[in-house]
Amino acid sequence: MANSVDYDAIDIGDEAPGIEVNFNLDQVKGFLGAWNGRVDSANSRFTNREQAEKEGFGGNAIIPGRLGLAVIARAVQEWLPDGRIEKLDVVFRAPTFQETKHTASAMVTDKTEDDSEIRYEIDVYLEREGEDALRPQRGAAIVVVKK
Amino acid sequence: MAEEVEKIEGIYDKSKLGQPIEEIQITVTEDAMLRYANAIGEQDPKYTKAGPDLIAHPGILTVLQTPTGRVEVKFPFAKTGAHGGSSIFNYADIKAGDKLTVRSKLTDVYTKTGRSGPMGFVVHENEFIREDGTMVGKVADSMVSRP
Repeated sequence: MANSVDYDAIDIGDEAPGIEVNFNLDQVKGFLGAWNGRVDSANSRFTNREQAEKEGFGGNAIIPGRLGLAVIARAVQEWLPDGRIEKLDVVFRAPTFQETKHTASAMVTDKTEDDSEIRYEIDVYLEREGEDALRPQRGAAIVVVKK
Repeated sequence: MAEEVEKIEGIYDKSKLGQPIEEIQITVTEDAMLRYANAIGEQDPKYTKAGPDLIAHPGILTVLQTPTGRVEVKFPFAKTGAHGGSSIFNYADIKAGDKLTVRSKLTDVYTKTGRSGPMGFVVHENEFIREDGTMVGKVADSMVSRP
C-alpha cells in the first residue's frame, strides 16, 4: 500500500475532494472513439443539440452515461488510489449535458476492516452546477484497499 | 414491478431470461486502454503509462466490444429509449494482451411508472472471462424505454 493516503483516517461521512468536469463536443467524440471505435453520426444525441432535444433530452447535446460513470470512477480512484473499485453501481436519472460544469464526488457510508483489507462502502454522484444542484447520476461503490 | 410486466403478455420471449445469448472473444489492447484513459481525463500513471505495469481503468468494461445479440423487448408504450444505468463489478486487473471471452444474457425486464408515465427497463449482463477461467469483471446495463 502506498503511504500517500492515510486510510485509517478516512471514515464514515468523509467526502472525496471531487473532480470538476465540463465536457465539450471534441472530448465526447474522443470518448466515442475509445468506445470500441464507435463513431456517431453528426446528428446523434451525443453530437447534435437539436437531435438531443428531438429525443426528449432538451438543453444541449448530452454526454454518454458511460462517460459520466467513468468520471465518477476517477473521482473515487483519485481519492483512494490504492483501492480496487470492486463494484460501481450508477443510475442515470437525468441527461448530463455538454458545455455544463459537473462535479463527480463520493462519500463514505460504511467502513469495515480486518487483518488484510479495509472495505469502504461509498455513495457516489455526478452533480450539475447551479441552483438546483441536480444529480443526473447517483449510485454506490465498494472499494477494497489491501493492507 | 414484475407484476406489471406480467400484464403485458408477449412483449418478449420469457424463456430467454437468464439464458446465455451470445459469446465472443476479444483481446484487450494497450492502445484501447490508453485511449480510454485519455478520453476520460485520467492522469494516474497506472492507467496512462504504456508498459508492463499498465492496468485498465475500472470503467473500461463499459466500452469494450461486447456481443451484439440482444433479446428484443417491445414495450407497447415505447417511443424513445436511453441508457438507464450500469453496474460494474471488477474482480481482477485487466492488462494489455488479455484475451477475454464475453458472454451476454438478459437478466431482468420490468416496468415502473414515473412522472412522465410508464418506463420499461431491460437489463443485459456481460461477463468477461480470461483464458485461465478467471472472471475479471461483469457489467449489467439497464436500458430504459419511455413514451
